[in-house]
Amino acid sequence: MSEPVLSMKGITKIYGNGILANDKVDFSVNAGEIHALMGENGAGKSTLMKMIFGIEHPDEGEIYCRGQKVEINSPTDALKLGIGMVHQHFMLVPSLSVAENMVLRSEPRKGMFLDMEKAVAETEAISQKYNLPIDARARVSDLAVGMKQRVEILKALYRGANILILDEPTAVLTPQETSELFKQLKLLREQGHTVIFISHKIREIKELCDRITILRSGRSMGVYNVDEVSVEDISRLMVGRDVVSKIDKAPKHPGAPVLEVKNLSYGYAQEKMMLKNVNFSARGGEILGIAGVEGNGQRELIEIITGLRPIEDGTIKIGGKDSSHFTVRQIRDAKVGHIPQDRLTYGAAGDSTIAENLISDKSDSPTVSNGPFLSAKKIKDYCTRLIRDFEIKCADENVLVRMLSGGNMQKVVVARELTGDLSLVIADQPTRGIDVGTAKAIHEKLVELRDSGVAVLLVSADLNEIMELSDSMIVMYDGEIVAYFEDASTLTEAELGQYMLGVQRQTEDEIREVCYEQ
Amino acid sequence: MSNKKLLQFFGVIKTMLAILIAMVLAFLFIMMVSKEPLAAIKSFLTGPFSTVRRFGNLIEYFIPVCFTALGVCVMFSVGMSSVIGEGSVFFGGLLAAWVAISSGFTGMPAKLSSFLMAGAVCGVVAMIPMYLKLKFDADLFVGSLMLNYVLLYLGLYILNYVIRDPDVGMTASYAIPSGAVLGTLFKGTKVTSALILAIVAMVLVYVLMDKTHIGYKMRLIGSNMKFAKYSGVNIFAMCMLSSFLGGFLSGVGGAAEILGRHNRFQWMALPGFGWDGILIATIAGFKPKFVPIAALFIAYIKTGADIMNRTSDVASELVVVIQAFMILLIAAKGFLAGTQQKLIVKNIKAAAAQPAESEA
Repeated sequence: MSEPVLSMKGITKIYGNGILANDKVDFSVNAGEIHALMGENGAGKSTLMKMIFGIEHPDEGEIYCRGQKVEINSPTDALKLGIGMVHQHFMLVPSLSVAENMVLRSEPRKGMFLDMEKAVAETEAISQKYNLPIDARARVSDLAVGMKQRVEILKALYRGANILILDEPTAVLTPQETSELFKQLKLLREQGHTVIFISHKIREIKELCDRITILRSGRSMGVYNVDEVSVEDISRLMVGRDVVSKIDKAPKHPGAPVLEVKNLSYGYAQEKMMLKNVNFSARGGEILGIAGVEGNGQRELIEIITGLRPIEDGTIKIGGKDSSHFTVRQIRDAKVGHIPQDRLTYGAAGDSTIAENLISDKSDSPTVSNGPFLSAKKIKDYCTRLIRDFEIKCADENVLVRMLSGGNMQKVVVARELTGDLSLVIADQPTRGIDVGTAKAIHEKLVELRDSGVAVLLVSADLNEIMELSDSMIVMYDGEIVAYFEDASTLTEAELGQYMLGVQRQTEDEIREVCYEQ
Repeated sequence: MSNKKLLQFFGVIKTMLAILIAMVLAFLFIMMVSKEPLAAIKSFLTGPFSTVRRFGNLIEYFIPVCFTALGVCVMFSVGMSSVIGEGSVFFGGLLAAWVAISSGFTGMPAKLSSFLMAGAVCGVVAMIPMYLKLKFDADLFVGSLMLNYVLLYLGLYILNYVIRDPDVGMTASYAIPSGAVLGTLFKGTKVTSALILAIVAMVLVYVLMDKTHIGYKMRLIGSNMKFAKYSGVNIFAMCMLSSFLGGFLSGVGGAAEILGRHNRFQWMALPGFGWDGILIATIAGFKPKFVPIAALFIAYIKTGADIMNRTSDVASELVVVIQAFMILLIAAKGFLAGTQQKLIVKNIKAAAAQPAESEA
């Protein structure tokens, strides 16, 4: 097609805390293509892009722009080279008009003041040139999300960018806005612009992009023509496991409901309701999966059940007791284990040692303390046992958690949460971004707990995981439960997809069946 | 070398280098302003050890800042900066004098009641800005800073209208009854039994912070508050307790100073021990076990500067300049960051070259 307009050779970036974000990554985009950059959370996509845009600086490696070796030390340098970035979180001043945002930092002036008319004229000119209509006088805070994004794109173009980096642009868009954005991007491609498109939605990439670079744990897994690579291949390269991995499990023996959620609604203070009258119960001896595209209320639901978010409306019972207003401590005392989706925010303290992380919920229990005093010996014994049982790879329990790989970090979280006397386990994306072996071990542990009579509530965006592991399944869409399957094993991916995308929903009566009485 | 050790080692090197650079700058400054720079530097460096009295001065200064620095370690352990120590040390001194003057106790009960009152009241006061932070998200730093001045002016009011001795020419309280005055430990100095108390406090704070689940929970909050909350730690109770203990320790430090070295309470301004406590705690990396060394060091350069001031033509304000440089260099995350980064990169690469070893 054409020669690379931008290329990076042997880029290595190690953050100050020792995390290897990029390891000898080669990356190159051709002029006039839409190039996808794919990878899971933490695979190093953002770091790589930050280095192109001058926010981070590589420790090793070289960047070439139009054949010239370049040093990009700041976003200003990047813009001079014609590189623009549309961030996931918009960098706009909401209280100013579109035109004012466009010309920010290079305002046309009339004496001391901003020449508003000229700003509007320039905005309209650029908007016409690229066929991206926008109301130049509208206030940014009044615009819909898709329009704000358009302002960002126009702003980059206005500053002369012909290489555009879009960081997960569709994450915040509605399907209509997404298809509109795709049209715009294709138009830009026709006009000779280059687009780097960061995403982890395979479908979108198939639809939009020409070539794809896949990153996995900081390494490049290669460059492919999108036409020539299948969805299965992409997901295998990205996640590093085969799409179908069988989990052996015995037939379920469901017992009494351990968790009962009734009429739960949340979001009265937000722009839209995040949960609308959610009802379900999870029984002991059963893995209940919650399927759904991320951002359909799962996060809020889990945080309310585990006491991290205050309840607004409805009731939650754990083990028959009303736990709606329990503190986290009371909920934990009710034998609840919780694997949170965000390891380094809720699941662990990176700057603390493995030992400190393993005892965080039981520092005052006789397991590790004698009265008020921490017992070094008990802690050592307890941690050594957990490190052995869960096969955490580390020198000893005094290693900082931050220094561990993602998989080992997750093992620390899982070891803490799944040890001890449990009646309910809430596993929120328990294997996201970790290696096959660790994921398998975690799956087996969850099945083992389920066999011993524990209720397991599994939330996962990984279809394969949720379909393989769940005994029963509910599907969430737009804050509601739209389907319940008593037996998840007969479900097909296509069927599930229909419910997840809101194309179909079951009747109220069918959904109601998920509520079991004590 | 593991990464943890590498970072720890680097922390020590950084601190030493910061001190060294600050000292070199100070000496350059002395060279410029002094007519006899060598004599000035000599009195600065060796002065504190030249006589028993001067070494006594060093220890006398060491006592109150030990308490305030320990208080800072406890308060900062939850990851939030309350600077109430300065007001607490002032108010603690005042309360101790007030209780000693008006309680009528003598001997042990007099001392005990003075210390406890100073500690308890200052502890409760220190909880106010933390309460406002936790309940109303009012900035803790600003809140605690402002409260220092509330305490100062409240204290001056009490001094002027409640415990002022009208028979002396200056603004001063009634004389502190001899029954409440702390005994001196060494002849020729004013090093009092408060030194023993300071050593006890160091051990207790060290044990509390490093060896009990209470200290562990506070540190957990400091390292990741969301994680602490998720783990079931009672954030409110722990933060309030850390503030109480911080205020308590500073208040006791003020009491030790007033009952040990002053006949009457006559502070008209904030004494500065609280600020020095923050300085010392910073040098100690907010670890109680390093407080004694850091406090001794700061006491040494303060005393040295004081002696230099009296024996040469260099003003003791110089020491403030040294302190400022040290704090800047120690607190500056970017200082030597480039070297540190290179070391880490090298270390990780070495580890990557031998994956079997690093995994084991």
